[in-house]
Amino acid sequence: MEDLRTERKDRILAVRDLPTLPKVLDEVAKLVDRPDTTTEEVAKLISMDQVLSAKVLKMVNSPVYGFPGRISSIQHALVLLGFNVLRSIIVSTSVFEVMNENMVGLWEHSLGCATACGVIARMLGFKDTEEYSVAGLLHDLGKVVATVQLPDLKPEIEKAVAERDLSYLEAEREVLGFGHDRINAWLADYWKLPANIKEGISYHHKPHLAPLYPEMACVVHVSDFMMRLFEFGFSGDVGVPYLQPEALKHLKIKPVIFEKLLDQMCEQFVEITDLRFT
Amino acid sequence: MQKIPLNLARPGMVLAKPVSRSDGIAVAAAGTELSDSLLDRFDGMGVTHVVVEGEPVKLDGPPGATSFDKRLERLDFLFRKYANNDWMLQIRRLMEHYFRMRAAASAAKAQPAQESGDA
Amino acid sequence: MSAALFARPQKIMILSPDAGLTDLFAKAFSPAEAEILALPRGRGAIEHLFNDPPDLLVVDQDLPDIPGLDVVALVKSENVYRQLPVALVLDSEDLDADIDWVAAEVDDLLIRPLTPAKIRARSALALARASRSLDANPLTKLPGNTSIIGRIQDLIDRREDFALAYADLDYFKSFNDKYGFSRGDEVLMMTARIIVNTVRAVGGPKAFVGHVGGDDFVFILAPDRVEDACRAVVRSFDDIVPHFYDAADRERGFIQSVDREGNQRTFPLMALSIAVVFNRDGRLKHYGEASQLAMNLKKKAKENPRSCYVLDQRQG
Repeated sequence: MEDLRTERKDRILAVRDLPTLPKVLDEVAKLVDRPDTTTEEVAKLISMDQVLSAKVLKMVNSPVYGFPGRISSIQHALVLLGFNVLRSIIVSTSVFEVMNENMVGLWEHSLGCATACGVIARMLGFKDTEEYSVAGLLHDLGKVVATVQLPDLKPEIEKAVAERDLSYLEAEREVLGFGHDRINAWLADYWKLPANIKEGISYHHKPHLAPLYPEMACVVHVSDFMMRLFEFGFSGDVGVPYLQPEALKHLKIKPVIFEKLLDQMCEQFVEITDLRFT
Repeated sequence: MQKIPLNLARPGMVLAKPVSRSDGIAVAAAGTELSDSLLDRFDGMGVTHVVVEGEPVKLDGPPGATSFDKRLERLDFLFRKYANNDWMLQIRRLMEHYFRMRAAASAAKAQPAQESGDA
Repeated sequence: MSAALFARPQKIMILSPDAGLTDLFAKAFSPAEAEILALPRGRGAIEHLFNDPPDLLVVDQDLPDIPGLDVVALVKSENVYRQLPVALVLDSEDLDADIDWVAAEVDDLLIRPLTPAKIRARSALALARASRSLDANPLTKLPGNTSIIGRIQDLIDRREDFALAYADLDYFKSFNDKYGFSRGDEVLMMTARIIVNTVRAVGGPKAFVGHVGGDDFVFILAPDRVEDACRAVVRSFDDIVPHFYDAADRERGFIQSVDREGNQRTFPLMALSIAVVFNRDGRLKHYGEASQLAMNLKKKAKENPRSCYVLDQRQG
């Protein structure tokens, strides 16, 4: 099993061509081509797409640029990469050939989570709230990478979820030998993403165990719960995950704050339901 | 509040967010009650959606636009794996209370529910 | 074969639809000497190239989706990849076309028909040449003093109007002392990127960025664009530099370190100081005048502990 796991891990890390949804790529490409576009406008659009965000962060944290592990904001990444490099990323990015509802649902879920993380971080008075949004956006990236790099195993995972009512995470662990949270950790290490992002996307199922940035993991954990409660988008299975009481305690979220968060979330949904990924 | 296509907006509904022209100039403030003439004006301006108080329209499909009634219905299924877990049952009760409250508040603010005749 | 060709296996990336070319490379080197990666199209390769640059890039002018020279231009235009040697593969008929070899920034040519021996020789030569020390700053790869002086003097001799900006970092030394030179280098790389991208975005034919050394940078722009650039550079720098400090120092907004006399002192977060000198109507005659004026202006800029820029207000 160890050899199989290593082989699969290697296949995961060999990912080169991560595709995204056609509409997103199209809109970003159009925006970047306009002469008067600002970095802020592009950052806003890219921050809604997990694949482009991941590529941008991976590039800017590459040792070639000279400061690996330092940049966790899309805005900053774009300032440091410049439009030339950004255009090359866009031009290199392909789109999913076969698009299905579930893929679109995953994008919606990730965007919802990103939004929710921002809401929570702001309400709790954290600094650099954009970084929490980034972690929320990328927390399911491992699922996309597994879809692309281990396509033969995906139907088995889906079967386990459909036939035995397993959570997607349980099904992944059974079929692949590891979950998307583990994949996220491997990618974060390999791509030299900053430590806070890494913990946000690999500890969100066991947030209180995050060694350095538990608040990051806890925020993503709570967002994920909320998105599934509202069934915003689709993350591979239907149902709420276990909400860790330690997470609420660590963030000092009492019921009245929880309700305020839900209120804010509902308002934000109204804003982002206008965005269509198809 | 609810974001609805202009063709489903009706007189009597109340704007929850202002409506602006494409150059940013506000044309109707939040709190304005919609009238036929106002709706015509929006139509002429090319406005496609408005955000209104409450949930006067039964929408379905777009994520997050499902009503609080729907959320209540779904709770059993969503919490199905935790039927015997005290902590999760507590959370479920919290959510149920919240959705009930919001559903009631929406019903109070809204006009009698408009069925979307032309889907 | 005699002594090893290279100190370690070299990564050679070939952008070409021509499988025969890849074969020739495979015959030219043993696996211990070179790892060959071949990609048939330009577009998909670019991101890969930027993420994981090879030791030698071989580009076929005849790519199916984008002219080979365009790929070369893209690569050479980013300071972090300037040192990467690039060889262009051409058919001999292509030489008839009017190619601007100065603009092309190609390091070597491989003209068909090719043999493994030719490929081996020219590749080894290109790699050796690339590792010889150039005028480029070894850290940021930006043009160094010689190029900078040359460029300024050239503009002066042609009596062209331009703005010359000298930028450096306040409290850089104390940062290095506390966090070490490695992290100091990270800050310099970040600063270089900010200046390069901002100057390029503001643009114009005079746009130029150089790295004198240490924390001293120089950039040149048209006089009517320079203030926008200064503003943007300062704002981006102030936004990003706090992330290079540890969380506690970032919270506090200052660091504790030791000054030149050995005393404990608090130092604010690093700030960027820019002094801008103008050449209008051929006022300047020699680059030395420009740098002298800039040094005086710089003192004023440095009086302000926060990031700022000072423009020379004197009229011609």
